[in-house]
Amino acid sequence: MAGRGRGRPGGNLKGITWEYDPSIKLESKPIELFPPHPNLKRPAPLTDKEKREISQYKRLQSQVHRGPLYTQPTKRDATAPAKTFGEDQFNRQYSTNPKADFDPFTGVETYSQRLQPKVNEIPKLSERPFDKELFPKELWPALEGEAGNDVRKHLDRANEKKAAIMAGMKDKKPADKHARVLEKLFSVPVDEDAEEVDEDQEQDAEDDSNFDDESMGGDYDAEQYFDNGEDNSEGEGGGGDDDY
Amino acid sequence: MSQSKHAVELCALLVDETYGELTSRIFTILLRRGRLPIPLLSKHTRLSSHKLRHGLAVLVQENLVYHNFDKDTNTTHYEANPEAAYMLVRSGKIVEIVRSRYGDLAAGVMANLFLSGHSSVKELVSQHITKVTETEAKRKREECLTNGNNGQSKVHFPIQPAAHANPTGQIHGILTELLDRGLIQPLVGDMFRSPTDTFNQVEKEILQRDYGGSTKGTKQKDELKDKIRQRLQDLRFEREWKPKGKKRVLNGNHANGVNGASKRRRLSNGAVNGDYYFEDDGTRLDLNMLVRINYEKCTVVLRNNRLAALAESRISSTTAQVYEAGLQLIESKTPRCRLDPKVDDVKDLPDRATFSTMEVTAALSKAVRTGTGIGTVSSDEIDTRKLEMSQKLRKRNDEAEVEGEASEDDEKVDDVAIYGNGRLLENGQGPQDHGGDNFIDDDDVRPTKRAKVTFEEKLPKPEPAESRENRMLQVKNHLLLLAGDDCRFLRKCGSRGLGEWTVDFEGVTQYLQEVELDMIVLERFGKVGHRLTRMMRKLGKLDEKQLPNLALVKQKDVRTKLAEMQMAGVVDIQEVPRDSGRTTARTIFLWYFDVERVSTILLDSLYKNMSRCFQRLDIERRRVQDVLTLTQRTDLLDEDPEKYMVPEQLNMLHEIEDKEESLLGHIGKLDELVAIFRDY
Repeated sequence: MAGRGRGRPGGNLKGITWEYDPSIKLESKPIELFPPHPNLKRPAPLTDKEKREISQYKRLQSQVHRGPLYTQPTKRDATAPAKTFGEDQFNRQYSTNPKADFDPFTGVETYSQRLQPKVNEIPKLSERPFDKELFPKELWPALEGEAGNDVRKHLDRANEKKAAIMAGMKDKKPADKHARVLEKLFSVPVDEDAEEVDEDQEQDAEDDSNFDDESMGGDYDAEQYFDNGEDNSEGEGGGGDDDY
Repeated sequence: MSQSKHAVELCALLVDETYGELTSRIFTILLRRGRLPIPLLSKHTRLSSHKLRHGLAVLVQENLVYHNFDKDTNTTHYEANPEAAYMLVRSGKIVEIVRSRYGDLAAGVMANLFLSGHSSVKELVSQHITKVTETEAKRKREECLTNGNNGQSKVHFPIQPAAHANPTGQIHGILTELLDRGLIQPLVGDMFRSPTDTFNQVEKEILQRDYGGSTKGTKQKDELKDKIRQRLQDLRFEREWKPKGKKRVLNGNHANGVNGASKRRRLSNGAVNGDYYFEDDGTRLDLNMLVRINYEKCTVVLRNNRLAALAESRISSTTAQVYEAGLQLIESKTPRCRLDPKVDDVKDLPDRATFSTMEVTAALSKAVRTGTGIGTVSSDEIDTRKLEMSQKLRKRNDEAEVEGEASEDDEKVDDVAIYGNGRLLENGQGPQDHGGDNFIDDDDVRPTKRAKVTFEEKLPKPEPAESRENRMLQVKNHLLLLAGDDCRFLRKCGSRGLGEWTVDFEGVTQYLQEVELDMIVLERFGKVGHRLTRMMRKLGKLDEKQLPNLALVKQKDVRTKLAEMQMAGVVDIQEVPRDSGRTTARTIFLWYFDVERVSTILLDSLYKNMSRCFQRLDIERRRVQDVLTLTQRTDLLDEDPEKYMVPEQLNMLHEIEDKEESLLGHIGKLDELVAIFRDY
């Protein structure tokens, strides 16, 4: 305490004066992003045993990666920082729709790519035997490969419809076609209301009915443009949202 | 494993690295959110239920996820199994240790199990047979080639030994051996239930059955606890592998021809350059039995390996081999390293597994030359003065440091190893004239009565009976050395079979932990920090005013150091006010070093470090993606890269391989630390 008082008369802090000091240098350089480690040492060289362990590990990994259960990364941006904040951001990293994220420059398959390993988006469970008893019942369809059945049924139904419409178009003459479209135009609103009641659709569907997009015979349907594509490409009926 | 942020990150990375993205996304959410049913999982992962089911199926298959069906609510909950996920990083080590012990074929079986999570015996057998036929075909092709090319010079490159005559029998032999050793375990359905679920279910059952729904009073509660524990132990016992394989009766000729020969071969030269030979003893396992890797037992095996390495670094390689043989003897009686407080009765532990000198001698491989490693000198050459001095010094130190227990005094150590110039080891006494029991009974140092068997220049092949005797004594000397070491590798507990020994694993593990902690503190905080923490560990909580005197460091330096260490969480301070005023002057500041807390902090930083290594690995791989995709092309998968790469690419490939190796090696070393602080 006594020592500190000495500097006070001049109005300075201890050890600091207002005199000009030519030797002083301002540190204006920014701090180094990766300053050298103060106490960095080289690790001990690997022993033979460790080397063998590593090679075993690598061999195992490569075997798993070649196997049917491995799923390849689908990150949209591989160089994105690993740190994420929250689930939403985490989930958004991964592509959900390969068609929407299609890269026209590299996405088109070329002849030289024929030898590249196939990309698994979902594990191929059919390629190895499972003991079903050990799995919960709700996973059994996935193990048996029955999970796709619903989707397939759905697709089949859509195709049938299409075929029927096409067949109907072929039969009738152009003039009839006009008549058919007109007929549809008038009949659709009623149909749609009925459907709404039946399927108990969400709020969005109501909005749709206001615009009467469907009354145009489905020629141009902006809302469904992408949805349809997704449904077909994914082959699993579009998102898990219908589960909750 | 505690569910710290970094532990979660590491597990997610490990699963991602091994089984790919889909599984890792599901696993991460399960780790973060706890147990979830499929609808909620789908909400949090934004995955379609189709993908989700596939991913979950893989996770269940690989034992990474527990599932439990709740009858009341009719839903299945999934729960992550972080221990299994962590063990993925140890897969290389486990396969390697199995290879070194039981040979390449057993390692192949383990690798297959790692690949498929769990599989039936039938599958393993068929995989093995296809592998054998493949190698056989390859061998034949090579033989043809050599014969065709140069008929005269027969052995140009080593021709692999012919395959086993009976691969089916061989694989059954391997599997039985692994099952007997406990490295793999038969799998039953309720193993997929998480420990908590099992506990709850057992509790519910017992409550319903014995108490009609609820308990009254503390007495009944205690009873209930005991009953649950008993039931859980029974469950565990039921799961254990009990050898009951059918012995197939072989007709005499066949048995003599094949089995007799192989047995003789096995006895005469047990392991011919690491190629272990499993004879077909007619054991047949149930083909539909499911097996998986028993991680708990694998940890025990790895711990034994680590302890042997410690013995080697502290004493000698021969002693380490003796120690390892002893540890392997009690391995079958140690099912796990750390007891589960819920299942095991911690208070009333059963007697420890023991082994006797004779058993070790019998189990020890003939290749180990027990005569080496210990030098004995005649008594007049021993500098007992030095020994006494060191002993006195030690006692004085103990007194100076005012410590009650935990010194060597109560341990009755009379075998002291002096590491002077050259290894001069003094073995307390000739064991043979005391029936082996003199080891514990005296405190003072006695010089050797007579110099017995000695240095490495031993007779190469003495008389069999005598050599057995000698060998036993030599082994005993090694064991005495181990027991006398500061680490307390062994403890003597009886005199059956020339001395009975047991291992206090807790003590040795604690020693290992202390060494590692000291090392880390020394590296991070220098000599002074190291000294301070050691003092605090030994003496408990210390007043700040005492510290400079004890540590012989200036008050100012002590304070800076302590503050620095407190920032890092290594030491902490407790304030004890002497009056109600709580003024600084009238407050005692006690500094302490909490080993447990420091271990937890250390573990967390180890997880973090490991996950950073994996992330780095990923980035490094991405940088040379072009080269790596080239090696992954379907037509070049099994080719030698040197054949199709230009030198630049080859350089890049070697560079990334070096980087991979050093990063994975670093991860392996960190994993060793994790094992010491968490698993052993």
